[in-house]
Amino acid sequence: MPTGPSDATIVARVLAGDTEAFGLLVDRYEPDLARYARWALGSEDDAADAVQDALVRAYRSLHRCAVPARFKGWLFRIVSNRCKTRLARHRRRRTERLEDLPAEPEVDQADPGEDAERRDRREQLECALEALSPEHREALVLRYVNEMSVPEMADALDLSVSAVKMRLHRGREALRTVLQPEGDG
Amino acid sequence: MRPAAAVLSIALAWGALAPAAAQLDPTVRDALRPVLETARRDSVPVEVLEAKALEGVAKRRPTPVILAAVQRLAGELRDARAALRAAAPTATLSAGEQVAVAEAVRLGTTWEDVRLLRAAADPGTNLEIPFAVLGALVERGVPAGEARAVIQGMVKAGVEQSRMVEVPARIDVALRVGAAPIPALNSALQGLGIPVPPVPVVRPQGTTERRGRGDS
Amino acid sequence: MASREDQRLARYLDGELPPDALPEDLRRRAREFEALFAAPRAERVRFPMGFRDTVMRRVRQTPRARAGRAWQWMVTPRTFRLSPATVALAAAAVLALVVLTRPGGPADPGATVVTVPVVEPAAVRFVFVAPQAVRVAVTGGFANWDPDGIPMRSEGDGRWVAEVRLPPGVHQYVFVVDGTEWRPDPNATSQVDDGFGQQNSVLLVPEGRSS
Repeated sequence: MPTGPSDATIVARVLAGDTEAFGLLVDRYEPDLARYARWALGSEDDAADAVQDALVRAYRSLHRCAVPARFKGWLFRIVSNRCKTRLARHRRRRTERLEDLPAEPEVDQADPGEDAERRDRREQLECALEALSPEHREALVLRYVNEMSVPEMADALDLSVSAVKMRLHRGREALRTVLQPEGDG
Repeated sequence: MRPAAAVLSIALAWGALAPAAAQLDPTVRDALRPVLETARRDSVPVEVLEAKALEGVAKRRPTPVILAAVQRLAGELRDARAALRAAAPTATLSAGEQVAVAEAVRLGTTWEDVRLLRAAADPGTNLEIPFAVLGALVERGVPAGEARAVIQGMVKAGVEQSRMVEVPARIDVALRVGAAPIPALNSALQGLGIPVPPVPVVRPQGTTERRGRGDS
Repeated sequence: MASREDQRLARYLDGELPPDALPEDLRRRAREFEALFAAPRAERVRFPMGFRDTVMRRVRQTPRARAGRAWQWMVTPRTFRLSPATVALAAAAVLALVVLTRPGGPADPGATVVTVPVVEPAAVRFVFVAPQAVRVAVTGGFANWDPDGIPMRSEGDGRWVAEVRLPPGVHQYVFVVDGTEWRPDPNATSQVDDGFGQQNSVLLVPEGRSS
């Protein structure tokens, strides 16, 4: 349970004209959104751009948030759309300039204290997620990185609960396939 | 069209997404436990009591005050349920109907009138709105028996609830220009085109002109 | 060999089963899967310094659209006509609770077309006048008495408005001004004792019936 005013309260204040109050929502959701976007996109810079865009869009269309008490899901939906747009753009660019394929994620994101095994694991996941469809990737990140519940995900992705589960199941299958050492099978 | 958002709005209104009991403070929940257990055993609608407790917490009332309010409500609901049961043993009694009866009685409806209305209606009919309107009539000074007869007439005649709920506001308009409660009720019924006979007016000397009060 | 995911493992990974509901071998596979995400979960992603400032700078420059009638699409109407007397009644009870009015219905100068959903919850508009308020919410049983309840939007002339969908029945509600003052609706048809020394307003939402 978040401390301080509820999301619905802050949304009402912003809609009543208190622009600065929107900053409270930015502070509240930046860590979660950052983590989600960074793993959905594979890069912190891209993530910062996507989340920034999403937040400004959210402000602009705040009156269209039908249920202010469910602001979080609505906001994640906007970020998810921004990330998908970006991924689509990357894919188009990537097929055009193969030599610019990012072979490995930027090393400067690593925690200097991180041990080698952990870093390897992280990079392996990174590459594996890159190979998945945006829908599967997003679903896995929301569930296993952001630790969102399935009902919350239904909210954020504008899907039914069973559709969310289907995406998770297929996403897990796809991930396992990608991570499978070659020759097994 | 955004079906997901619509479902959420409905769910919010129905309380389906946020079960009341889960939000109660442990101290309050512990204090309430005996009351809720007894209520559950007596088939008193527990969710109504939990909602009352939540209301008390939200209004920052001390736990003893919340407990007293919940106990009082539980007693009223128990009595309401008993009266409704006696009149219609086979009826499905919604929580809302029991709450409406409790409130109507608090406003001056007699238990006799509660039983009469329930017995006259079809056991399958939900009387939540009729009892609420009955309470509103009594609150405005219509004698309980007369008010009950009018409501009974409306229920038997199949008057839509959307018209029934307009009656109290119409009475208020007439009251504001100085009418007495019964004439105000009669004018409300006439204005809404509700097909029940007007209520007889008590003569100033205290004698009442009564025609046969048959079912209509 | 990639095998189909065991049903119980799937349910655990969807968050529907506790870990102790799994046999040891599945628990091990669950842990292996979760371990893939251990590092990302633990990682603190930091956006560049000044991220918040950049966002707020852009926000301040953004014109925000006026609150629109976002709720209107939710109403699937059945229309019926009210007599002019009833319309006058509603107008006389200033700022009373009204059922949704849908503009653009068949034109008839003598009557107001009011649309009421028949089977679904009714769309209800709450109105409260509080020119000095910073924020107003409407709350009640339908919002679990949350003081933040349903935030209302300011129409700019001291009126605060909210649209809510409510099932048929008796609903108790109040307005909460600036998060602390609980106020009943001066224009409600009925008020009831809340059992705590205050009053709640009462709204009756009728069951729909085919006319």
